[in-house]
Amino acid sequence: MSDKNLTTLRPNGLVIVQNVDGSTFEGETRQCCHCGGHWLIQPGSGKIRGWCGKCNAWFCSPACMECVPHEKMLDIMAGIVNPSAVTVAGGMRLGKIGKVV
Amino acid sequence: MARRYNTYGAGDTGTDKTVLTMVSTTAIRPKICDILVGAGTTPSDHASKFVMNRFTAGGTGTAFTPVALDPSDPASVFTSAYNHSSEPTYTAAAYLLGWSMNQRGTFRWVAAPGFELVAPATAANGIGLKTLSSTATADYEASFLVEE
Repeated sequence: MSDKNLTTLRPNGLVIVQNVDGSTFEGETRQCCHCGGHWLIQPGSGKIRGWCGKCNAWFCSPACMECVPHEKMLDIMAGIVNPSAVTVAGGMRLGKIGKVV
Repeated sequence: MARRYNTYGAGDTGTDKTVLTMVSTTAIRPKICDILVGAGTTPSDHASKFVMNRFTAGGTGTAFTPVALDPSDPASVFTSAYNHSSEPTYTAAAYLLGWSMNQRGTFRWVAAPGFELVAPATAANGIGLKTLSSTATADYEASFLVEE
């Protein structure tokens, strides 16, 4: 795994950890466009992330591949939108080396 | 413009405990934009896994009245609780952020504007900070900055 921590141009969040030995770790997070969760960007971690062509943004894992935009998901949770009325096609998944699989 | 509040609390001592929660209502979608976590007592050399997890019922805890960052703002609509005697009903694997840290360290996460952790506009729903596992009895406290 790479030791580069600050790797992205426009991070969605910043993590600052003060370690036991007094050192400081800084890292960046990205937000999933479907579930709204954040993950720490760790180049070379081997974890599969993806890009949604409809949302034009990243999603966090194959489990979040179906395109239900975050705002829409919050409406579904609040009972404002019927889940069956939401379009779910259109997302795509990227492999570890960045190719569509 | 959105109003911002601070909420703070210490979790009940033990393993797999909720430290702090933010509870929504039907009127708003509160957003957590800043999280700070540390140990309130003299910490021992142990580690814990933390997650920010969605829940559908807030459990039973000590209420903390959120403090407006702008003194002219009204009282918050969302509520907050800590030191839970009854854990919230968490949604399985709905982790919005996760990390591990030593009890002697401190952790801070800051969201870029527009990328906060958002709770739905549903009564009793919200987001809680809890430990998933600990190598020893943990004693943490946390603070959220919340926008509504």
